[in-house]
Amino acid sequence: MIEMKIALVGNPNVGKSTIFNQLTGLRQKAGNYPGVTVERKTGTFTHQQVKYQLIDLPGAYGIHPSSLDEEVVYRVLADPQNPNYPEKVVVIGDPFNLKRSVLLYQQIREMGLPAIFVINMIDEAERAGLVIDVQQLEKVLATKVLLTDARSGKGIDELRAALQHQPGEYAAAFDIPEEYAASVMQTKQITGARNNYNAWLTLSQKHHRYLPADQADELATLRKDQSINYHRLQIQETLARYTWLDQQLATTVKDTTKKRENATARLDKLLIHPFWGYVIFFALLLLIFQAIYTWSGPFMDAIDNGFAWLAAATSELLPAGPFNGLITDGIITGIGGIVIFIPQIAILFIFISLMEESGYMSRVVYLMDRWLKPFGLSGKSAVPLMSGAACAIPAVMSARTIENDKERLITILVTPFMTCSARLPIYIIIIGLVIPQTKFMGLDLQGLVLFGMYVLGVVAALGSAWVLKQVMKTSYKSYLILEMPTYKYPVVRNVLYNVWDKTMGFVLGAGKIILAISIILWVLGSFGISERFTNAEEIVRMENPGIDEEAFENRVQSERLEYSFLGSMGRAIEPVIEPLGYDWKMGIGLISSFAAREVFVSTMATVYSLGGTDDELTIRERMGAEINQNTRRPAYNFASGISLLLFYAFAMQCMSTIAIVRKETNSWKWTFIQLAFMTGFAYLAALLAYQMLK
Amino acid sequence: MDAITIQYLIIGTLFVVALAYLIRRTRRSFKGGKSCSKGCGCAFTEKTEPLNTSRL
Repeated sequence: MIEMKIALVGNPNVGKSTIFNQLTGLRQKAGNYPGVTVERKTGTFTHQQVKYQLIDLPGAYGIHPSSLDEEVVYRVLADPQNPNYPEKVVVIGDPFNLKRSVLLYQQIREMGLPAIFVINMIDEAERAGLVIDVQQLEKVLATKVLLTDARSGKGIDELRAALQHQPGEYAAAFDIPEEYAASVMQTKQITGARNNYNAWLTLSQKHHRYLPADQADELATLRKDQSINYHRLQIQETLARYTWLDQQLATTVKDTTKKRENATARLDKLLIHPFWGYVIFFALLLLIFQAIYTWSGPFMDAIDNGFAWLAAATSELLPAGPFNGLITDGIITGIGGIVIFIPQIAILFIFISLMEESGYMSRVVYLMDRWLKPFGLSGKSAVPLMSGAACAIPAVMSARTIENDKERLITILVTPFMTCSARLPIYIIIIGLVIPQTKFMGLDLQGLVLFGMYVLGVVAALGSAWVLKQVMKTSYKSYLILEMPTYKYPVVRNVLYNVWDKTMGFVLGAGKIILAISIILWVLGSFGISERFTNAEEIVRMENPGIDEEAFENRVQSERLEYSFLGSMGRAIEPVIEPLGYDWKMGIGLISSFAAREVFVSTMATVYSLGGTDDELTIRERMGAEINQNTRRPAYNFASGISLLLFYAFAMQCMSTIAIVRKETNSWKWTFIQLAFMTGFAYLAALLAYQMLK
Repeated sequence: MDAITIQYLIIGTLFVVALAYLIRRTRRSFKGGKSCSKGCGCAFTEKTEPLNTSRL
């Protein structure tokens, strides 16, 4: 079978990832806001006996990279030795900004790569009254031009068929200025560039990180000797191309109406208004958190009761013995501790998906931008911070779009403060236990506290950024140049796919960790070597003469747990966490949730299940009934609950985030500084809260 | 072998497998394979362009 590599290239937010998904059948994350793709993604599909390897590259406005994500594009397209160097490029264009897309197409063709041109979002363009003369455009571009609407799948079959099209001879639209001809020839000799335009591109790059050190040094010397300002070269090229494009495309696109701009502009007058924009955004956040509590309640009860019933039924069904205990007290209870949160996670992602699909997320980024600058963050930090509301890992990665290293580092360091979806289960369960279910100004108080926790995450991120700004003395100011996408009706299928993917990813990803941790916890909690563990029955009988049978069973279970391996570990760390209002059992939860925050609730469910004899209690009933052995008060009272909420709001309890920060910063030093700062801050906040409220 | 011994053997095996899974997952996270298996939208991660923190 013939194999062929195809690269998808285009300006940010033209629908590359949606076309990638349509062609490959994959479900790569796509969103109606720029910067969703910050690295190359690959997928394969077969069409008419040809196996295509499709490479989805990050969005770029041109071939001169200014940030790491744009550099990925340049490296793949400029270097034939690159393992992802394509045999053909599909340039995807935005019908409303055709010139800019064609500029990118021209650069790619002049690099020597065959390319076809796709105009996406054509339905929207036609509705807005844009008429594109495709035949004329094909003549100008010397290639096949296709029209698609990737969201609905329109034109995708034609695109698949056109991948075999061989573009015609291409005449360069840009002539290298005479004054640089000699320098370009020298660059060609130094780097072995394939043609003059590739040498020109190398000469006009800001960085030459991808070149061998000796070549980069020679180029630096050449630029210095010839007083070449790389930025001036880029401007010259862009201006020359736009002049050419103005002439060539004058009759290609006819804009017959301004209806589209009017609809989006009218909405934007309200949604990004300096006052009402924020009011609407906060009202929307309030709605989301009220909905999470109100809508998910019945589902949560049903799942909680369902797992309690399943544990009791399984216990009855299986013969008595250690395996029965592992299945009912360990695995079923532990897994129940994550499944119970499916409704809340799904509701959260429905709202996030709707915001992304409709184009509103770009407006949120725009609104955030104004608030970031005083704190040492660039406007470009808004995308990572907003993404952090779902998960810190892709959010940290999306900081690659920030060209300044210090701003990028600050963004990476503060993004984990944003309230990710893994914190939601802990907030939901603790708020449910310590905040009364009443109304405050007509709103659900528990929902308001949840909203407050999200605001707290933003405040912590901005405050930490300000501190880092003072420490790192950053004075560089980069600007967010954000192209607002038009508002679109969300495609229900895309929203449902996204919610399904996120929710299943959450449950299955966390589920595997929870399954493993539940088994380990159960074993550690069921075995021990101390005398009080092995002789628990005698000791309890001796210390409590006349105790009734049910109380005796409970005391024996509790005694065994306390002196098991798990209990010994918990009691060893108890002195550190006792001032925060926690007992050793909660300490076990803190340690296990270092793997992932969402593990906390299922850990507590398993630990409390091991210490009791009643299999029919739900997770929330077990947690609500638990007594702190040190204070003799409910383990989850107002003071300890607030302390726990603050601890999880600030602590870096996520192994995957630590790993990604290490990778993205390429520094153990900054990874440890972040870990120590977040954990220390969390400890202090939890300590103060408990000591003041107890 | 009686039923209880078999049950303990199964539990012991599961314990070792669970421990090995967590260790392997942690090592993978730091060594560079899949950085994230939490369904966070980064399952395609292949390569990271490192930040040059030595210059900061």
